[in-house]
Amino acid sequence: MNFQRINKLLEKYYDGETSLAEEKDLRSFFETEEVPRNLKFARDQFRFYSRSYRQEHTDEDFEDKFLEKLRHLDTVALRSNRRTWMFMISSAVASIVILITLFFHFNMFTRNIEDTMSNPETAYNEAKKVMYFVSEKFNKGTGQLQAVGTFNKGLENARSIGQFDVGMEEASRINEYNKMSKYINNLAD
Amino acid sequence: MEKNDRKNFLYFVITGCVVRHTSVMDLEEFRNQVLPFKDRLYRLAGRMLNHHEEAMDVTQDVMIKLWNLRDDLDNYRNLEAFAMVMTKNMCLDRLKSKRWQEISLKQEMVPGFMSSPEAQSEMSDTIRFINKLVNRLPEKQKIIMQLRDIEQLEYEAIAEITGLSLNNIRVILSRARKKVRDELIKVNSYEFSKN
Repeated sequence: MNFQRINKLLEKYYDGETSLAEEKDLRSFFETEEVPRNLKFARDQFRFYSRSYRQEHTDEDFEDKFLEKLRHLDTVALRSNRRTWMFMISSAVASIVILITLFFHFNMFTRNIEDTMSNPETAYNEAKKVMYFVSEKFNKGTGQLQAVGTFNKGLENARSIGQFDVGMEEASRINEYNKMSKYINNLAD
Repeated sequence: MEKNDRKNFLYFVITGCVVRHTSVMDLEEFRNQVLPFKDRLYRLAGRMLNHHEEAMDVTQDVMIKLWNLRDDLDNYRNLEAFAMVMTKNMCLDRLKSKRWQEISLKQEMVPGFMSSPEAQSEMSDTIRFINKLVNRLPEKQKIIMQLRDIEQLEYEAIAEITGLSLNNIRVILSRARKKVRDELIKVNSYEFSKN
C-alpha cells in the first residue's frame, strides 16, 4: 500500500469520513508495516484500538458467576413458588373438609325426616294430630294477641290530656295555645 | 364425538406446550445469543467508569436484566444495541450516584486505570498512555470513539445506542480522533527533540 493513499485515508479518517472498510485497511496497514517516523502517531493510535479490542475482556469466570447468580435467583423464585403451592394445597384441603362435614350434616337431617310409617292411614292420622297440635298452639297465640285491645283503652284514657288545654288557655298567650293544641291534636291523631 | 373432543383437547395441550416452549428463550439460547455480548458491554462500561470491578458488575447486572426480559427479547431488532443502551444508561446512573462520588474520592481514581491487571501488564507504555488520553476525553467523545474505533460498529448502530444523529456523531468522532492525534504528536515531537 503506498503512503500517498494512506495519507489520504488518514486525512479522511480524522475528519470522520472513512467507512468501516477503509478503517480496517488502515488498521491492518499499521499492524503489519514499518512506518516512517512522521506516521508514528497514527500507528500508535490504531494499534491502541486493536489492542484494546483484543485484550480488554471480562474475567474468565464471568459466565460461571453469572450462571451461579441466575441459579440463586431461580431458587429464590422457586421458594416463593413453593409457598404459594403450599397455600393452594392447604386451602384445597380445607374446602374439601368443609364439603365433607356439610355432606354428613345434611345427610343426618334427611335421615331425621325419613318416612317411618308403613301404613298410609296411620300416617294420615299422625299428620292430622300434628296439624291439630299446631292449630291449637296457634289459637293460644292469637288469644294472647287480644291483649293488644287494652292498648286502645289506654289511648282513650290518654284523651283526658285534652283537659290540660283548659288550664293552658288561661295561663298562656293565644298563639302559644294554638301551637300547643296543634301539637296535641297531632299527638291525639 | 367424545373421542374427537378428547383429541382436540390433547391437540390444544400439546400445541400450547410447544408454542410456550419456542417463545421463551431458554438458557442455552441465551448463552448463544446474548452472553457473547459480554466483552463488548464490559469494554463500554470500562471506558465509561474507568474501573474494572465496577465494569464487571455492570456487565453482570445488564445480563441479568436481559435474562429477566428473555420472553420479550424477540421484539428487539438489534439485541446488541439494546444491551449497549442498557449498559450506557446503567453507567450514567452509577456515575451520577452518591456512592460513586465516594468511590472516586476515596480511591483517587487514576484516569486510564480501566483494564484488568492482566490486560494492563500486556500493554506497552504507549498504549497505556493513549488509554489515558481516551479516558480523559469528554463523555460523548469517549463513548463514540469506543463504539467506532474499538468496537468497529456502523454509524447506524452508534446512532441507535447514543441517540445522536449521524452527522453529529461524525463531528464528535472527528474531534476525539484529532485530540488524541494532537496529543500524540506533541509527545512524539518532545521525544524527538530530546534525542
